[in-house]
Amino acid sequence: MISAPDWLFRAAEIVTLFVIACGLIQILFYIVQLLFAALALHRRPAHASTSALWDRFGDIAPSIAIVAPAYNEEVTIIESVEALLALHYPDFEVIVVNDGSKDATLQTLIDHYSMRPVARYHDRALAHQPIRGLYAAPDRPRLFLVDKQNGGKADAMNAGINVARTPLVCVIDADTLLEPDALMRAVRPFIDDPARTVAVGGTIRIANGCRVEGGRVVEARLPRNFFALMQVVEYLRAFLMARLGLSEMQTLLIISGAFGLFRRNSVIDVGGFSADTVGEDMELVVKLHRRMRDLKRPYRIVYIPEPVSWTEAPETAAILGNQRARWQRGSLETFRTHKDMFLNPRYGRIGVIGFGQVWIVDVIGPIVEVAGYLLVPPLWMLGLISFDYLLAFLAVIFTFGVFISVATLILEEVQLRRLPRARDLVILTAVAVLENFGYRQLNNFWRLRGWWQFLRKKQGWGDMVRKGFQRS
Amino acid sequence: MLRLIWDLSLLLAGAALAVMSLLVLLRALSTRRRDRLLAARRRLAPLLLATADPPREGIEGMADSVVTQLTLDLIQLVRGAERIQFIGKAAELGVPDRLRRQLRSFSRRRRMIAVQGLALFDDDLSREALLDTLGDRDDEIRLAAALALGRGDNRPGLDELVARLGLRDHRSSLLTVTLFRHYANEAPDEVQALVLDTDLPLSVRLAAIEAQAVSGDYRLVPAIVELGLRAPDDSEELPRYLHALGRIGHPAARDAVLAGLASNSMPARVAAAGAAGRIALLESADQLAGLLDAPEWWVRFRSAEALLQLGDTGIVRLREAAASGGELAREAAAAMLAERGLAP
Repeated sequence: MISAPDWLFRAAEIVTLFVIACGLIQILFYIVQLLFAALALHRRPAHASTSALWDRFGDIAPSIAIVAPAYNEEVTIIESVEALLALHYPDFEVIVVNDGSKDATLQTLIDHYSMRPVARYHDRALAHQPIRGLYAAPDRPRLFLVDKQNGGKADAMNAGINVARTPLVCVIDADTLLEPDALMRAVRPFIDDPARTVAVGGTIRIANGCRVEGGRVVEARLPRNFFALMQVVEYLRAFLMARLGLSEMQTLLIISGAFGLFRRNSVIDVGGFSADTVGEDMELVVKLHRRMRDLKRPYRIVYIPEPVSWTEAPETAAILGNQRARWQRGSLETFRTHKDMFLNPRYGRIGVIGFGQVWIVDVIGPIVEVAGYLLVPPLWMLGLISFDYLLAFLAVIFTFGVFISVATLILEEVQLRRLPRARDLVILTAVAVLENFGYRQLNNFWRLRGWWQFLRKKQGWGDMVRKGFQRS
Repeated sequence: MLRLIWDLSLLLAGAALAVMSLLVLLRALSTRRRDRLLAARRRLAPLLLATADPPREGIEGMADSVVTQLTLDLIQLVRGAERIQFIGKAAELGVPDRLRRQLRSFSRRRRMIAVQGLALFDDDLSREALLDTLGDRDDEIRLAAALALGRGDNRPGLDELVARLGLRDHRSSLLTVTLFRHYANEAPDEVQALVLDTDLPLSVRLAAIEAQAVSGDYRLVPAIVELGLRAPDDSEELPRYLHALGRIGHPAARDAVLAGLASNSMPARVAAAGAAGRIALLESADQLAGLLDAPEWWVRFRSAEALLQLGDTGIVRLREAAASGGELAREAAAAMLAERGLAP
C-alpha cells in the first residue's frame, strides 16, 4: 500500500463505486429483460406449420412489398431474388432497388428475368436520389426493379417504399436469407392487433457455417470461425433476451435493418429512413415511437422470437471492428437526435426505460467499462482500494456476464430448442463463458472507436467485405 | 456489500452453468428419443399414404404423438377428397381422442395445437370439446376454438360466440373477420345483427361489415350507407364503411360514396375513390378527376385507378388531366395511362 492523502483513497473508492454501480445497473436491466423474455416466450403462439399458418391467415393476410436494396451484388443477386420470389405468402411483391451499383447488378437482373422498362405511378413522399428507371418482368409479375442513383442503403429503402403500393413493407438487406415462411410468421402481430401494430422485427441468426442452397439455409450449423462463433452467442443475447424482453415491455427501440416489417403509412408519416445516420434502423423505430406518443395513439412495436432470417457475420477483426464501431455510432447519433426524449415523462416508458437503457448501455457503457479496466486493477495494486472493490468489479464484468449469457442459452434451450445438437449446446456454453475474457474487452475497444468517430463526425459505413455463404 | 456482489455473481453464474449442464444432458437423451420418433414417423408415412384404410399393422408401439402429428401434417398438405380420406384415417387411429385429451394440457401451446387439430374433425365429441374450450382462460385459444366451430356444419349461434369470446370488451383480431365470414354465407342475418348492434365495439361491427362485404350480400348496403353518411368526417370507421361498400359493389352505395369523395379525411377519400371505381359510378367521374390534384399520393392514385375502372368516361378525364390538369394531376394521369399502356 502506498502512503497517500485520504482524499485520494476516497476518490479512488468513488471512481470504483461508480464503475461498479454502472455495471450493476446494466446487469439489472439485463435480468429484467431476461424475465420479460421468458414471459414472452412462455406466452408466444403455438408454432404452427406453414400450411397451418396458410390455412389460418391465407385469406386475410395483408399484401406486403419486400424492399431489397442491392449495391454491387451481381454475383448473388439472382439467387437472392429467386429465394425471395419463392417465399410462402399469399400476396407479395419483391422490389429490388439497384442503388447505383458499379458492377453488373442491374444488367444481370434485366438479362436473367428479361425485364423491360415500365411506367409506374409512385409516391414521392420520401426523399431519395433520382430514379433512373423502373423495370418489370412479364414472366415474374411479383418482381419489380428500381434503378436509382447511388445514395446508400437508407436512400434505397426510401425509394423502394415510395414505389411500394401495399399496406405493409418488409425491408431487408440484399444478402439476408429469409426463412420460406418468414412473412407468414412476421405478419401475425398485424393480424392479431391490426389497429395498433406499426412495426414487427424478427430473429436474425448467423448463417456462417450453415449449409445454404438456393438462397435458403437448409442445415443449421455452428461456424468454425472464432469471431463468427462469438457472434452466435451475442446475437442470441441481443435478439432472444434484449429485443424480446424490450418488446414485451413495449420499449423496443430497434428493429434490425436485415429484417423488419412496417406499416407503410407509418414509415411515410415519419419521413422514412434517415440517410444522415448509420443507425437508420434504430432511428426509424425511435421516430415511430415519437410520432405515436406525440399523437397519443395506442400502438405496438413488436418483436417475434421465431427465426425469420439469416445473415452473414463478419469473420475478421478488422471488419467486425468496423461494424461494431458503426453500430455504436448509430446509437449515439440516434440518441443525440432524439435526446429530448431521454427521461422525458411525455414519452413514458420509451423515454425512461428505453432511452435510459440506451444511455447506460450504449452512451456511457463502453466508456465506463474501459475506464474500469484501466483504473480499477491499478488502484487495487496501488492499495488505494480494497480487494472487495476489485472482486465487485470482476463480478460485474465477468461472472455476471457469464450468468447473463448462459441464462440466455438456457432460455433458448428450454423454450425454443433451435440448436440441432447437444454438442452445439456444449460449444455455445463454452463460448458464453469465454467471450467475457478477451472478446468482450475487444468489443468495448471497438465501441470506443465508434465513440471517437461520432465525436469526429465521421460519415459513411466503412468497408463490409463479405466472404459469401457456404453454398452447396 | 461489495463481497455480496461477488458472492451473488458467483452463485448465479454457477447455478446457470449447472442448469445448462443438466440441459445438455437432457438434450443428449432427448436426441436419441427424437431420432426414434423420427424413424417411427418415416415408417408410418408410407403406411398412411399407401392404402385407403388406416394401417393396422406396423403401428403398434408407435408413440401417440407421432401418429397424431403426422396425420395432422398430412391432412394439412392435401385438399378435397384426399383430405377427407386422411381425416377418416386419423379418426380411426384415435387422433381426435388424443387431441381432446390434449385440450386439458397445462401448456398453452399444446392446447392451441389440439384446438387447431380438432378443427379438422366434424364429429359431435370434437364439437363438444371445442364448445368447452370457448371457456379457456386464453383469448387466442378461445378464438381458435370459435374459428374451428364456425367452420363446421353444426355451428353455434354467432351471438353466443361473440359473448363467449369476450368480443364486447376486447380488441378484435383480423381473425374475427374470418370467423364472421364463416357465418356470412350460411347465417347472414346473424352477421347483420352484429353490424346493427350499437352496443358492440366498433372494431367488431366493422369486422362483421367486412365479412358481409366479402360474401357479396347487398342487403346490408342501405344500413352501411346510412352509417357512412352519419359517421364523423375524421372518424376511423368512415373509410372502412366506404371500403366495405366498394367490396359489395352495389350501386345503392352511391350517396355515401359521393359524400366520401368530398370528405376532408384522406383515408375516406381513398376508400371512396376505390369504391367509386369498383361500383363503376360514372357520375363520380368529375369528382375523381378533381381528386387527381389532391395533395396526398394515395388519393391521386386511387382516383386515377377508379377513373380507369370507369372505362371510356374515366379515360377521357384522365387524358384531359394529363394534357391540361394541374402539375400533380398531370403527373398522376400521364403515369397511370402509361402504366396501363393507354398513353396517347
